Amino acid sequence: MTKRLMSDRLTARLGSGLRYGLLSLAAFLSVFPFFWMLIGATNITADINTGKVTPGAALLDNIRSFVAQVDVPVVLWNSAKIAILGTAVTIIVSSIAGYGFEMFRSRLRDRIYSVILLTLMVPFASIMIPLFMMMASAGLIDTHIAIVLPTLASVFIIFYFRQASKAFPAELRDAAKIDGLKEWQIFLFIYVPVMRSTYAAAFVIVFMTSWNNYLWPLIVLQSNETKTITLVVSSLASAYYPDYGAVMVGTILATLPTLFVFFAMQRQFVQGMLGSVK
Amino acid sequence: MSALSLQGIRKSYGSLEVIKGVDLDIQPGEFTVFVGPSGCGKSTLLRMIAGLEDISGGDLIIGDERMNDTDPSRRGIAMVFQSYALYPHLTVRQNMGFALRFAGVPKADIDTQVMQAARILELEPLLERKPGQLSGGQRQRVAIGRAIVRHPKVFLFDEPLSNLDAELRVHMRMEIAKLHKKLGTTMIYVTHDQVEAMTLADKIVVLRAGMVEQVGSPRTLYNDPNNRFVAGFIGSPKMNFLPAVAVSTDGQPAVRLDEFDTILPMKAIATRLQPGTPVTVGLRPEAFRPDGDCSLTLNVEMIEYLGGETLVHGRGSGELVTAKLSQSVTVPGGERVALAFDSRDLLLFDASGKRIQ
Repeated sequence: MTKRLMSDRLTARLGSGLRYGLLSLAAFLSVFPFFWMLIGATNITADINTGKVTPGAALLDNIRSFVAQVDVPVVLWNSAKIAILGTAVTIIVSSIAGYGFEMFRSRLRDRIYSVILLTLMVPFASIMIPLFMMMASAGLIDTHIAIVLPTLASVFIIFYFRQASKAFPAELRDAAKIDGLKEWQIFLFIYVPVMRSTYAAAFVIVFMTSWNNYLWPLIVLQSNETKTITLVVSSLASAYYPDYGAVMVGTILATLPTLFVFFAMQRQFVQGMLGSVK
Repeated sequence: MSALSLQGIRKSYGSLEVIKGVDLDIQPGEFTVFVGPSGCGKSTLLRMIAGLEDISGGDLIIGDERMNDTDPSRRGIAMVFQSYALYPHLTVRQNMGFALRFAGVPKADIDTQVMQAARILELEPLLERKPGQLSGGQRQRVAIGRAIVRHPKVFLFDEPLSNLDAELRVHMRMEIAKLHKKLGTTMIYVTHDQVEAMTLADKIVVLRAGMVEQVGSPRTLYNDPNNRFVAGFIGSPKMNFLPAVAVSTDGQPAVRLDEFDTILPMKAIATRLQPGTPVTVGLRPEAFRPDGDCSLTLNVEMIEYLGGETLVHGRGSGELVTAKLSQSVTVPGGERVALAFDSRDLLLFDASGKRIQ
């Protein structure tokens, strides 16, 4: 009996040890790039190339170097403009679509919805060239509109809002109808405030995606005046003699807004992902 | 003129008809309760009156106007929902004044009307709270308050007490009855709880499978049901139904209950029944009393003591019979006991369930 008890305890300890070991590994893999970025920003390129993992004294030099190579206010403004505009438009259009798909009954509803969901399986690479040609024929190449337009409606965000709308009490909509609200008023004055956690989570997801968007802006944006910080940092890293210290400073600068948005909305983000209606 | 009239009202979802031609007149100030088992269409009918469901056929008249296609907000109705349906992001005050705000009523008037309703419902200390900070009973009072400020011609209640605990339900039931007395407005109330129906209603509408089975006062439905369904639905514990055969004893109508090996006189029946006709005898559990002129001998299976009352469950050789006795009795299980009742309390139903009178 005692032997069996000891064996059970040993198994439980081993299981727990394995679990913590795996979690620690995952935590290390997640945090290390940030650590490497911060350390890299304080070191010179030669030290970074040797894999030095202790802080250096080159932070100010790296900042100076980055500022000398990049028109920081312009690239940040470009990124912010695209991310904020893209996020706002995507969330407005996709939440209206998600609401509509959940609230309105029609024989065609689920068929149309299935077709829309199917487009999730089409890789962006396969529509990139036709999309580029469309933008070119509309004279939108090298404009920020060309970045925002294809993200007008995000299938994933439509799906997310439709799923979240299932938790929106149908009786609230009924009560609002009896109170004399039109459908757009129900959406604006009842649905939006009630679903604010869902909106916050969608905002975090779309803002991060939009801010970090690389491939499509790389194809469409051609002049330095229109480029985003992601493109600029990437071009610094792919130079013949890359200044990795400056690249790390740029990377920090490119990461900060997304970190700020995430931490500022962390609570609502978690609530929204859990699908709570407050 | 009726406050509300349903004339041949129908509702279909594709080929499935769920409301099958309802005719009903509700008088001004009347408290009408729709009851029926789950899926009978009582909530659908209420939602059709509210304008939340389209009407497939027939006419809905509110006041003297046909309202089939009128917007819900213009029908002169207000609705209280089962889940309260309070806007969670607004305060009690904002919730109550919301409809008036969208109707373009001046702010000062909204404030006055909200305060009046809050006074009636004793909600004044809660006006700045949000629904999430209120108890179930308080939320329900806010939902009623939101309906009151609209000064509707007809109040609609869709199972408003279902989410409350038993004690609060009794309290709120009394509050609603008092409110009806105070306001004198026409009210239509949907419930599956027959105690609510019996205590609140001036008129009960019993529905089954989208059709009205019977309309009448609580007393009428209890004492004088049209058919076996209504007789079984109204009353708790439900009426005992015993298979029987019509016989004649000295020219007087009577029934023979084979499972009790007894013949019961049917004094209250005027219809002449062909001897040998199969019928069903209905006898309410509370009809058993010591001074009755007839009796049934039961093999007692279970006794439930409820304090002031005792439920005795037993059978002859077939159906289980429940007797509700007002005095405390001590009948041991397995004993045979003769329980008396008055033969005038017996009801008779034909094979289709229709009452024979």
